[in-house]
Amino acid sequence: MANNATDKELIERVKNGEKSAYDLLVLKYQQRIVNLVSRFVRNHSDALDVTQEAFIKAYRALPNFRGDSAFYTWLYRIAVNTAKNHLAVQSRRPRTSDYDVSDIEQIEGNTALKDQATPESLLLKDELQALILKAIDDLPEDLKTAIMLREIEGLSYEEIACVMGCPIGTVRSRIFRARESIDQKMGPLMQN
Amino acid sequence: MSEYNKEQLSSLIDGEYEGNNDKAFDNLMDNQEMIKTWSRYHLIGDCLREHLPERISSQVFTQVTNALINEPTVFAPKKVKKINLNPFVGFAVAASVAIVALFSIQNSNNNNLASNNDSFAANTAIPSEIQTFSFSRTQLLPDNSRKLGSQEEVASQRLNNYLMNHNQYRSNGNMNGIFPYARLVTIESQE
Repeated sequence: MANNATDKELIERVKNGEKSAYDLLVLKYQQRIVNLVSRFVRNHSDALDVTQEAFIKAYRALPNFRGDSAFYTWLYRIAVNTAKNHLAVQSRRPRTSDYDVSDIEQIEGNTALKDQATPESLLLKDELQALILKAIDDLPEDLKTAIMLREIEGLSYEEIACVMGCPIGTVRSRIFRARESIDQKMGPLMQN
Repeated sequence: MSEYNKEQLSSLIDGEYEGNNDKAFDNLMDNQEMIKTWSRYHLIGDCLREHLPERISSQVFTQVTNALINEPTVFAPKKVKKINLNPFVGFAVAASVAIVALFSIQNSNNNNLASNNDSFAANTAIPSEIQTFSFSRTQLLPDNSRKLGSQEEVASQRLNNYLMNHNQYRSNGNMNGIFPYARLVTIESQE
């Protein structure tokens, strides 16, 4: 996929000491990794912790990433291993809900024991999905086709231009306008 | 943020940006509004591909960013450029190295031998009481061969004499190949 090139450029920047380039990779992949980890770790708060740990492990291991595979494939493996390790540790831990007074400090410091995601900070997938699908339905046909071919089919701009019978510049413009229109409808929800 | 910049960002996300990517990334990372747009555009893509978790939170990003503040900056070692040689060039290089190695070994052997001889000659004086002997030319060459005696035979006989006279010093000179205490005698058939 063409945006592997984008990942490579960002990785090179991180390897050259630009930490902020890694932020863009985290923003890009965080939802996919949370979704992946949630298949292993049912507790939402634990899934967030495992995802965070996976991203930090990936950052530390980045100098060893040679780029033989796509960055996401590599990150996927790290996330799955981290989730499995988490489950292994959980299974060895005795299951009890009785805590001594001496355990209070540990309980306070243990993020797994408290759900950090308050209702205000969460956005439900169904809510967002409904809003985006509605926004896509409202798009003019040419914008809708362009964004669907790009995001769902993963076609390059050149391929979309062939399919739609228009110049690449037009494809670029249509995809941008589709995204912008959806983004504007998402705005109020994202701000909340 | 202008529409033009957002359109550039949109094509950068898709890996289809036609301009200078380095400059575009520099602009992106310097602009918080563009970073938020980057995040939302990716969220749209994740939603359409059904990659979203049940509950969407920006908590991971915040926590990772905070954790990375304390992390040392990663620096990857620079890649060593591989020299791409075709087999013929490789063979030529190997042959050249072998020839150089052969000559250098020979040369060092000669130097060692010469230095050994020099030091031996310098440090060891032949005692005057040691008797040396040599065959006279008439003794060396039988009558029937005198006429046929060639220069080579004379040289060979002289070498034999030399070796016999100096045989006892050989072991001191660290010269290998000759038994230190064996007297070497050559035999010539005489009719």
